[in-house]
Amino acid sequence: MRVTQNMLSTQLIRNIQTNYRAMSQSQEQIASGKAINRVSDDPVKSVQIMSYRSALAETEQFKRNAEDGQNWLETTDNALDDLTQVMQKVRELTIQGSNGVNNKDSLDTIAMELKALKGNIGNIANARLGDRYLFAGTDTDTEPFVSGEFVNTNNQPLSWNVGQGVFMKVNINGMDIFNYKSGGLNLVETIDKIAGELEAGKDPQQYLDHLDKQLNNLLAHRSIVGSNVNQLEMMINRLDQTELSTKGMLTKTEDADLAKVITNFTTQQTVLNAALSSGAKAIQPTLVDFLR
Amino acid sequence: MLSTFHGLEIGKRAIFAQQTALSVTGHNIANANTEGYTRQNAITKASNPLSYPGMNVGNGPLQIGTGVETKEINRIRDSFLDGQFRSQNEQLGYWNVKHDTLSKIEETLNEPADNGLQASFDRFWQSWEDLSKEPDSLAARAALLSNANALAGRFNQISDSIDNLTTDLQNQATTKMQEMNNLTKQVSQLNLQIAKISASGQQPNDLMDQRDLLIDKISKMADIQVKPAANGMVDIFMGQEYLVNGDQSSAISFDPLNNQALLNGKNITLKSGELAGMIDSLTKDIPSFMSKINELVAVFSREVNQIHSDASAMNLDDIQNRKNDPNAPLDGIPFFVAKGSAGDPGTAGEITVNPLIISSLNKIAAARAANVSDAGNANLLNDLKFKSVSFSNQTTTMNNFYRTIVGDIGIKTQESIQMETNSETLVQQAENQRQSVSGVSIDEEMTNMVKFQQSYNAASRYISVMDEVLDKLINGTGRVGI
Repeated sequence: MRVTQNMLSTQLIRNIQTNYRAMSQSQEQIASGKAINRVSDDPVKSVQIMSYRSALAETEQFKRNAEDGQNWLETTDNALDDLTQVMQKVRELTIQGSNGVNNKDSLDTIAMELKALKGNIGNIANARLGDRYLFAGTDTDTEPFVSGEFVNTNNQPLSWNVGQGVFMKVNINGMDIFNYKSGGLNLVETIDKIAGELEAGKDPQQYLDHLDKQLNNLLAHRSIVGSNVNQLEMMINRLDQTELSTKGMLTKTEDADLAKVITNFTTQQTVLNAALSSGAKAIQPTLVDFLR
Repeated sequence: MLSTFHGLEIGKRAIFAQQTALSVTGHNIANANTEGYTRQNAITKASNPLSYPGMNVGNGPLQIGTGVETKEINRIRDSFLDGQFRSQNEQLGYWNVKHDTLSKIEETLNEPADNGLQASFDRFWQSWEDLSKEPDSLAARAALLSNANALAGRFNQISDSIDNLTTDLQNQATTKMQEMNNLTKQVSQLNLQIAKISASGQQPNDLMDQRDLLIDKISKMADIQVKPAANGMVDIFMGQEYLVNGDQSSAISFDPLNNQALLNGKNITLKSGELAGMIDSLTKDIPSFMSKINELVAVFSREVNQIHSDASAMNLDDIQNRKNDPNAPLDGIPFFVAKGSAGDPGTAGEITVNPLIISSLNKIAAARAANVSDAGNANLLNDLKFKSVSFSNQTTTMNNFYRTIVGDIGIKTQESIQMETNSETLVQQAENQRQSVSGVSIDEEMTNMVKFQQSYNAASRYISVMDEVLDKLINGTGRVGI
């Protein structure tokens, strides 16, 4: 094949161009840290990256939901803990009032104390997280406890999405605690009755049993709260693992193998230098240089 | 008998022939870097001999040479290689344009990235999740609205970019066709000049080079056939139609309404070249992409609206009204509407969040029961992300459908890049082969130059010898004893 000077120089320019193109691609990968910068770099992997990213966003969201749910449950548990203490105090006072050694004055004092505790129960029933009532079902913007009475009748669950198709009930129905009836009386009514008996100078002993039942009911609900918190904790751990493995897969698919890319880049640089220096030598001399 | 001055005549002819050859060499060197130049060659032959009766030859005269003459100056060119170059050049033009268009579509999608359409989708669904936890929170509603606006905005932006791309391509097609008309006109003018010169028996090498270069340029724009015609002219066809017919050229024009090329007033189908690339992009790639995006928009807003405007979906205003009157009618408004109307959006350009929702966050329907923290509807909506919904020819999740669109564009772009690189290599190979035949080699020209110079010198010396011989004859003969 006949080769002319022009062919050599065109070939040289073309090769240098090819080299620069390869270098620019390596450069892009190094600068962005990503092996895939546009879909056409690798359509299959790009689609995978997109679904990993989407899955990651889902997992993060589920985790946030679970954490918010824990928050809600823990606030509920705090309120129920307060309520337990109040109830235990009520029980103590009831026992104190029924031991038969109290005079009228001290019975009245106990009755008054009981009424004060009843007010506490009202406050607990109206406990809020932010501006939302904890014990109002889905009716979170209306006070469930009004003028000494638990009026809320909403027993809808607050179910939060903590996994695809997995919903966790994060609230406790106020009705099940504040409107739980033992002997036909709910919590507040039982205390009212005890206070009434004491004021009348009678022994409230017979209500002690109902009070215990109320307390047991409360503890049962607290254990539900506790187990839900644990479930969410497990859920969060699992989501953490999913997040970690999804991130791992994303990194593996998307990130540039820097060691490899930089090695490639260095090789390309060497090739370019060789092309440039050999080009400079090959292009220069022709027969003209040697004719006199 | 030979003429006395026969030798001088041979010397003169030799000098003329070498001079011509030197001029051709000079022309070659001068045009070594001229685009489209074909190296030329002066072909010499021995001129017609004379009959020379010899005294000892009985049966006829001898032949005596009369020196040299330049027969012709020709171009060293292989028209087969021209054909190869041009057919690859068509492909290169086609894939250049396709790559350009497809990578622009790819850019508008901006995937895979943290701020592409996929991310907008994800954020939209996440907002519904957040809202499902606290449906009474205005902050969660505001976040949802802003993400919904962003999503609709992304769709609008894609539609705008594609509209711009379409207009750009149409303008380019028009300009490219004007450029081509200009080139074909020049070819027809060169044809005329060449025909005039050829008629007188000469070969207009340099004009033919110019014409070939013009045809090379046309070959990148469209698929043409070049056929030789009378008097050294060439005809150029596109399909069955003349583009250049001798000294006449026909204008090609672009019809932006139908994205169609017209030649001599007739619709013409282009198979390759830049123009075919533009027309294919306009009539195939862009419409098929946009129809899929539009389908996604239509199905997405249909599904969201169906849940949002369901007969039992309630927004905060509805809940308020139902508290006062348990049978109060519900708003039941769609979430997304077409710009300027209340109907479902059908295209990416027209989707927008319902203006009623933009003006009041209360209008977002998160509930299915008249309680502020009921998240029945919000849960249905965030479940939509995982739900398979029916598209025109498949049933899949919206995320999957979108990813198919992205993958499809990616594969097409990748193909166009590979085809472009391939045809680039093939064009270069063809050009290399052509250069190998037709390109000027300085070394070769230098060698020729030395060769011709030596011959010239020898011829001069020969003339001096003849001169001395004649001098002896004329001035020295018959002077015996002087």
